[in-house]
Amino acid sequence: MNTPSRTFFRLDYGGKLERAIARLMAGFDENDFDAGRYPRRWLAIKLLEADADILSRVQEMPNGAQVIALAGQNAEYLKSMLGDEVDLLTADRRYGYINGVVRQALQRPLIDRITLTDRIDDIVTHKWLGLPFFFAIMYVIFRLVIDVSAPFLDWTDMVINGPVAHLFSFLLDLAAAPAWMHFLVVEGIVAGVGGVLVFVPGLLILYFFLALLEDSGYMSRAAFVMDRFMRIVGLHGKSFIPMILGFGCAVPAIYATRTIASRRDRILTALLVPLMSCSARLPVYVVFGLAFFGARAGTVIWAMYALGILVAMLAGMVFTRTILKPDVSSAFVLELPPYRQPALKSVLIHMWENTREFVRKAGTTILFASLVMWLLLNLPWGVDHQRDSYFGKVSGMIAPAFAPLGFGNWQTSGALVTGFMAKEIVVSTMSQVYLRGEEVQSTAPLSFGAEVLNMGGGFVTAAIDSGRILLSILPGVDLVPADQAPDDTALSLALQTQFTPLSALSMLVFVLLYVPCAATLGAIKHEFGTSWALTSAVYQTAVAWLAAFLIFQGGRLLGFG
Amino acid sequence: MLNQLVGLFENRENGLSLSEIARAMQAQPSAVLAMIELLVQKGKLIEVGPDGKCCTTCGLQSDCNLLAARGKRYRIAP
Repeated sequence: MNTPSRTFFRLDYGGKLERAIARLMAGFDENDFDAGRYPRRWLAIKLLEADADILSRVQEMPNGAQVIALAGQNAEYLKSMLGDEVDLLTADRRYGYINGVVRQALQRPLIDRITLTDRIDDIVTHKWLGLPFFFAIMYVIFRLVIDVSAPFLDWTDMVINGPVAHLFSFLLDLAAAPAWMHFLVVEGIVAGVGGVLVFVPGLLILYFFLALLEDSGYMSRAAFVMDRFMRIVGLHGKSFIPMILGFGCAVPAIYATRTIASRRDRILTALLVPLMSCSARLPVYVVFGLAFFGARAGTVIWAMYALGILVAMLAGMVFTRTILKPDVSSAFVLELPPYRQPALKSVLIHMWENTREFVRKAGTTILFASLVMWLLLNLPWGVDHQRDSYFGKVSGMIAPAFAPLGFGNWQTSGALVTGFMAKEIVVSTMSQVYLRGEEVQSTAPLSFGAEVLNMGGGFVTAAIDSGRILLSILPGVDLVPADQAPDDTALSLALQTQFTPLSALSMLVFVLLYVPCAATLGAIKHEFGTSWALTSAVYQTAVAWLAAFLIFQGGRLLGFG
Repeated sequence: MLNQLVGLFENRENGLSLSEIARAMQAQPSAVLAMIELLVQKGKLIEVGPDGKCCTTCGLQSDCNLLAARGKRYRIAP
């Protein structure tokens, strides 16, 4: 009868290590050391590796100290011979063995090496196709932002200028508030803050798509593609990563330049980041886009983003050849993570966090600015016309500088100046200036129940319209009636009396390029000093003026005015 | 294996990422990670930022969007 034999696995650690193990095991006997419950070979290896736990246990055992000393001598000898500590040598042998087993046991089909990610990257990071693909994706996103959000934008506008304004009026009436308080709350706060909050649906959708791009892994590809492009025009490729962040907000983007090693490259990037269209400019684009460009609003907004990138490239070329000459170039290393399906929860959190910041700003900076603006528009107290207010007078003094750009009136000049605090304030100021006494008083308040029904019904209609527009993106699907265009917001209607499409375009370009907001300049000053913050403010304003001038005067010469 | 892994870092001033190492070793990243961690623990490799420099020493590391998006890289310890 055969007894089943048991074969114990023993990894061969190689000549020198094996001899050291054998010597140490012999040393156990020579020193009358009893390994007790530990397997002798395993214990010898652990002692050679200087395993802290085992050393402390063996120290407590009879004759343990002698064995530890012997192990130490052997370990030193091995280190001097093999150039590494024993634990690294044993780990190396173990990993080598595992690798051998895996290679023998596992056969990977060659086709697996060419992953789906590789196939997609062949297209989206292609030398010639990559850049058009990037711009095409951005175009589709901005079309979606404008078209899909338009019904919700109208609904929010209706809610703010209707039920919300009426609610505040009602509460003020209940409190027997004086007339000036009515004006302050309804024309100052509701018009100012509400004028900005109207664009929350658009931002939600924008951030949703940006989060999709980020989570899917495409953003890294965009940086890779733009890196090539930027090198063509003499810029450093690393600059585009902060620039992508700049599409959200320039302030974190400025701080993100810290990952760039060279100070010169950091400064150059910080000077270009504010040219990327941050989300604060989007309300200005949307209100002008809807007012003057109708169905082409999405294209115009996309063009603003593309123009920002283009001007950044050109400005980079100028800086590189003048005050910021390049130092030693270093390689741009960028890991392209594999594509993955975006997690809905992560996308929604990203979308909400960014939009919450916008709403928070509306409740703080813009609320404060609206109050100050209202005061300046009404002081000296009892002024009949806003043009005669402090705000109107100061704005009127600045206005001639904007006349060659097509918007030399005091209202627009004043709004642009207040935009220095935050770009959204351009819209809130315009809402206060242009909507004074028009929108809110023109609509007769309904009963509370009717207002709630109106809001609910309006929301459902907006959701259905948005769904139709979204589905109409699919080839062969057309659920949007040809004559259905998004309603203009109250501000859009007011602007149509003050601007032409050409002067509106000139205004958009000026808003895109002119002086960064105070927070961005503060970040540049903090990182690089006052002189660079001033440089940023001056060069951007000069570039903005020149670009708007060329567009407006060039357009007039071509007969578009 | 460990020597082969350390050898990958020759002439790599900007270091290597986990996936680059895994690709070079023709192994899964999870399989390579334990080796890298051992080498980091033993002081053979150091963790660096996405650009290959020591931005991991930055105090804002936990909030860094770039580090989160692009991951750590590793370099031979000086």
